[in-house]
Amino acid sequence: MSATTTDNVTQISEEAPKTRSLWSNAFRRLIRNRMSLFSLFIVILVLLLAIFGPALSPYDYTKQDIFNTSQPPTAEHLLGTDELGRDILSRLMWGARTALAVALISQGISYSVGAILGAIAAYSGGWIDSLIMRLADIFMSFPHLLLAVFVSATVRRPIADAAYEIYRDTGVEIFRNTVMLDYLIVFGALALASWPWAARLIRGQILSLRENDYVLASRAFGATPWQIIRWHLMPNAIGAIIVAFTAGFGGAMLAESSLSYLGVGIRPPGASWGTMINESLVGWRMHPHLVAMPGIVLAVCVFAFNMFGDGLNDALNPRSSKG
Amino acid sequence: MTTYVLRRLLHMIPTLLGVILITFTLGYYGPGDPLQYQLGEQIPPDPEQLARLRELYGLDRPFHEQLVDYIVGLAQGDMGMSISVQAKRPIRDMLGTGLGVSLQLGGAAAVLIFVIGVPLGMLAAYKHNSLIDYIIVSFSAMLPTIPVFVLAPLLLILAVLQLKILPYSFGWEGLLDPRAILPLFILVVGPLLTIVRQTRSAVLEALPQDYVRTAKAKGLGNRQVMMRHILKNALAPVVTSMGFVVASLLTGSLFIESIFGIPGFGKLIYDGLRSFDYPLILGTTLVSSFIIMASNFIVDMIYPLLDPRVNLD
Amino acid sequence: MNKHRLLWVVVALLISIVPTIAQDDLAEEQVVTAVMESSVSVIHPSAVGGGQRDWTRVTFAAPFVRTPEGELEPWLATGYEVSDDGLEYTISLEPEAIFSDGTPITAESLKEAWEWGVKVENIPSWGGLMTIFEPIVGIPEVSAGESDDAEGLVVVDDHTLTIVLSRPVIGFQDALGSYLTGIVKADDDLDNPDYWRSPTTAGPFTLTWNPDTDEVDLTRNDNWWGEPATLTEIHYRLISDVQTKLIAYENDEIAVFKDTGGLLDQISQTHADEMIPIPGLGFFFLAVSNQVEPTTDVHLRRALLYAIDHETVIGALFPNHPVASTIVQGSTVCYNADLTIPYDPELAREELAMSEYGSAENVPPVQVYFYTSIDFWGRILTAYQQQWQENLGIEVQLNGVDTYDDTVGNVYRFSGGPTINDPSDILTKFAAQNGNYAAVANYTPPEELSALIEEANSLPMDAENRCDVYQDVENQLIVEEAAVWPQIGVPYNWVVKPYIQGFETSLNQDINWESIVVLAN
Repeated sequence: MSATTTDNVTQISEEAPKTRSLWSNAFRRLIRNRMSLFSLFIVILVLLLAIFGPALSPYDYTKQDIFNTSQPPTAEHLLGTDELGRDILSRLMWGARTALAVALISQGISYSVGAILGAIAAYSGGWIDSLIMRLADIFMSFPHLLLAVFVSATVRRPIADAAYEIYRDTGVEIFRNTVMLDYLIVFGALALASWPWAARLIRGQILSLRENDYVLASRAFGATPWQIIRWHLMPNAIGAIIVAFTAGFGGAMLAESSLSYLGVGIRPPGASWGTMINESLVGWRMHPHLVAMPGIVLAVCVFAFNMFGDGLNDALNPRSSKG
Repeated sequence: MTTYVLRRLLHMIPTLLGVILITFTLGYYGPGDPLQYQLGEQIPPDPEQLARLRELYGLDRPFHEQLVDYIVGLAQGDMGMSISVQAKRPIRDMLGTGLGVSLQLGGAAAVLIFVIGVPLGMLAAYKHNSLIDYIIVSFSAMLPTIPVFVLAPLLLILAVLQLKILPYSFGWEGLLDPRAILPLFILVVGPLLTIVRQTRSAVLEALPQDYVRTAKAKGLGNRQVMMRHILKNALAPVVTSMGFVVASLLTGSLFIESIFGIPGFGKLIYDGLRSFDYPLILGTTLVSSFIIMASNFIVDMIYPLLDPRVNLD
Repeated sequence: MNKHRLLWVVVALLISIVPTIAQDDLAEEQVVTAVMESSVSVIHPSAVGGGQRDWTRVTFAAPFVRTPEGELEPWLATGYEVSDDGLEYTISLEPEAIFSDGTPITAESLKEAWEWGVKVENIPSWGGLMTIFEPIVGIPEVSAGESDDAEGLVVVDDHTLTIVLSRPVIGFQDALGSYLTGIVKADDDLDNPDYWRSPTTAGPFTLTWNPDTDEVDLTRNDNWWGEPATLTEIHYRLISDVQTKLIAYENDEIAVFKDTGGLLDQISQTHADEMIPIPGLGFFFLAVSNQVEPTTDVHLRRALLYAIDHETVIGALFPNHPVASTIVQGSTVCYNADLTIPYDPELAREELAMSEYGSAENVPPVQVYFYTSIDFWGRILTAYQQQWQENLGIEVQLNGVDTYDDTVGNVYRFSGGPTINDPSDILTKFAAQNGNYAAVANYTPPEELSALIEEANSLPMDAENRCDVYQDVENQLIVEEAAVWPQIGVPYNWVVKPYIQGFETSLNQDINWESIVVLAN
C-alpha cells in the first residue's frame, strides 16, 4: 500500500472480518460510543429533513416577500426571514436536501469513477495502471478547491447549453430544470477534485486482497474477475470504502460553501447552507442571525458527519477502538 | 534507494506538465478575461483597445502556441507577466515575495499543528473515553466546521473590537508580530482534527501491543512508555498526514490572507481567481501543485525511517 | 482665602483653555493611514482607476483640480482659454511649478507626459487617458505607435500649451481636471517597472510604492512650489475585505476609507456622522445583447423588462440607494424625469406571445452574468428571477462569474454614467454602431437609432430641440429596444474619522490631502 495515502483509512485492517455478523457487530460498536450515537442521530435527522423537509416546510423556500426582509424570528416565520424576505426555516430545510445531495452525489460520482479506474488499474497493471495512477497524481497535486472553482466556472455554460438542446429534442422536463443542473455541475466539480483518493484506495484494497489465499483459490477454480470482485473483494473491501466515503461528506459540504463564496457555487434560486451564509455575509453585523443560523446548522451537520465517519471507522475497524 | 528517489523526481515532470495542460485548457476556454479586470471597478473596456492589448499579451494567439510558449518560457524560468493584478509585473517576482510570507506563516502553522495536535491526540488516547477525550476530540472537530470566511471576521470582531486583546486587525509584520496571531490560529484549527485523530487512533492501536506490555513489565513508568514506544509508533501515520496538512494550509491561506490583508501566496491565488489573471492563475496553480507533490515526496522519504515495515523499492 | 482664590483662577483658566485645545491643537504626528481596496496595478496616472485615483491629485498633479461643486480650480495651470470654434484650448502653466526633483515643469513636460501616457502599452483595456484625449489631433496615431509627436499638443512657450482638437467636444476642459491627465516626468526612465517604486512627482507629495507588500506611502514634497501641506506622511494600506476594512477603521488603525456601496447600509446606521458623500453617483444598469438567443427578439427583451418591477424591488431591498430609471441622471442636463419603465405583467405576456417563441416553454434559458463582489446584484437579480418565473414562466440563469465574452450572455451588468454634464457621451456609447458599451454587451443598435444619435450629436449646443432628441434616443434604448435597463444608483462615500479636519472630495473621488490636518485625539 502506498505510503502517501492521507486519510485515516490507512489504519483499516487489511484482514477485514469475514463473518456475517460484521454489520450487526459494527452497529453495536457504533452506538456504544456516545459521540457516534449523537452523530448518528443528526445524520438521520438530516436524512429525514432532506426527504420530507420540503414537504413539511412552512413556506416555499424561494418565496420572496421583499417588504419583510431580514426579520428576526416571529410566530409567522419561526427563524425570521432573509434579505429577500424568504422564510429561513424553509430554506434551512431545503438546504438539508442540498447538503445531503452534495455529500452523497459528489462522493458518489467520485467513488464510482474511482472504483472503475481503481479496479481497472489494479487488474490491468502495466502501463494502464501507470497511466491511471499518473492521472490520479496530476489531479491530486491540484489544490482541491482551485480545481473545483476552475471546473465549475468553465463547464457551466457549455453544459447548460447541452442540457437545453436535450430538452428541446426530447421534451424531458428534467433537462430544463436549471436548479438540478446547477447542483450537478457543482457536485461534479467537487468529485473531479476528489476521485483520485477513491481510485487509490480501491486499487490498494484490490491489490492487497487479491493475493489472499481464497482469492487465489477461486481463480484457480476458474472464477471470472467479475465473480471474484463480487464474491470476495466487495464484501472484504466494503468496510474501508464506506468509511472513506462517509469521511468525505463533511468536507464536501464545506467545499460547497467555499465555492459559493468564490461565486461559482449553487446559484439562485437554489438554496444551500453555504449560499445562505454567503448571501448574508455583507450585512452580518446588522443581521447576525442571518449568518448564524445557516452557520450553526452547517457546523453541527459537518461535525456530526465527521464524527459519524470516525465512529464508523472505529466500528468497522475494531482493532483501533479497544481500550 | 537512489533510483527510487530519481524515479520519483522524474515522475514529477509529466505530472507538472499535466497540471499545466489542465489549467491552461480551463483558463483558455473559461469565462474570464483578465483584460476586463484591469480596473478595480467596472467600466466596460474599449473594444479596439482590448484587441490591441490581447495582441500585446499574446492572448490572441491559438491555444497550442500559447501553451508551447508557456512551457518553453517556464523551462527558462519565465512565468510570464501579470495582466490585471499588478500589470506587467513578472509572475516569478510576485510568487517569490508571496511565498516568502506564506512559507513563514504556513511553516509556523504546520509546526504548531504537530506540536499541539500530537500531544492532544496522545492525551485523548491515554484518557480514552473520558471527558478529556471527548473535549479534545469535540473541540478539534468543532472549529473547522465553520467556514474560514465566517470564522475570520467573527474572531476579528471578538478579539479586536470587543475584547480588545489584539491591537491590530490586518497586515503582516512578520511572524513575531501580534498581527500574525489570528491568521495562525485559524490556519492551525483547520487540519488540527486530522492530526489529533490520527495520533489518537495510532496510540490506541499501539497501547495494548506486546512491546508496550513488555516495556511496562520491565518497570518503565507510564509516561516513559508513552514517550518512548508509543510516540515512535504513532508518529508514522501522523507524518503521512503531512501531505494533507500542506494541502489544507494552501487552501486555507487563500481565504485567510485576503481577509487579513497579508501579502502572501494565498492572496495571489485569490486575486488571480477573482480577476482572472490568467498567467497568475497558472503560476500559482503550478507552484501549489509542486508544493503538494514535494510534500508527498518528503513524506514518502521519511515514512520508512519511522515504520520499518515499509521498504522503498 | 488667597489660596482659594488662586485655585479658582487656575480652574477658570483651565476650563477656558480646554475647548481651545480640543479645537485648535493639532496632533503631534501629522500622519494618516488610508485604505486601498485592491493591489496597485499601475502607478502612472494615465491608466489610473479604482482605488488609486485619490492620491493622484497630490502626486501627479493635473493642470486643474475640481472643487466639491465640480468647478475647475488652478493646480499646475493658472487658467485656460477656448477658441471660438471650440477646437483650441490654450492653458497657461504656473511659472513656479517644479517636479519633486527640482526641475521645472514646462509646457514641453506636459506634452511629453501625455504622449507617453496614451501609448497602447500604457493604457488599460477600458482606455484610460485615451477616453478623454482621443479627440486631440495626432493622439490616436501616437497611441497606436505610428507617430512620436502629437501635432495637436502645441508648445507655445515654456508656460503655454495649446491643445488642438479634431472636432469640438462638449466639456473638454473637464478632462484637464481629471486624474488621468496627471503629469509624470517623461525624461525619466518611465518604461522601467522599478522606476515606479519612487517616481518623480509633480504635486505636494512624493510617492513610494512597494509592490511586494502592496504598500504606498506619500511623503510631503519639500520641493512643492505651492503652500506646503501640513500632513507629513500618508500611508495607503491594502485591505480587500470590506468587513476587515470596517473593523480596522473602528479599531482606529485606519482613519479614512472609501465605501462604494458594499457597506452603505451598515455605515448609514453606525457611522452616519463620519460619511462624506462623493459627488456624482455610481450608476448601475443591465445591458441586453441582441446577438445571442433568445434576446435577439425585441419582443422577448420587452417582455423581460416589463415583467420586472424594478422600482419596487430596489426601493424595498435597498432603501439607502436611489432607484435609477434613466441613463442620463438627475444632475445632468437633459435629464428626463418623466421617463417611466412600464411594469405591466399583462403587457409583458402579450410581448412574449408576439415574440418568435410564442410562449415560455420555447424560450431557451436566459443567461445573466453579474459580479458577486458587488453585493446587490445577486439580491436584485434573484428577486427578478422570481418575477420572471411568476409573470412569464421564463427560466433565467444567474451566473455569479463575470464575463464579457460576447458569445455567451444575454444580460450583463454594467456601471457607468456621464463623465461630463451632457447626455451626448453616455448615450452615444450605447446608441452608436460602434459605441463602447453597446459593443461590449454585444448589442447592435438599429440603424434608425444610430442615425438619431448622430443627428443629436450634430445639433448646436443651443438648439431648442437638442434635449428632446437625446431624450428620444434614451427612451428608445430603454423602453422600445429594451436594451438598457437602468437599475440603481450607488452613493459613494468617504468614511473619515472626526479628528481629520478639512477633508474635501470631488467627482474625481480624490482627497485634498494638501489641506488636511489631524487634530489631537
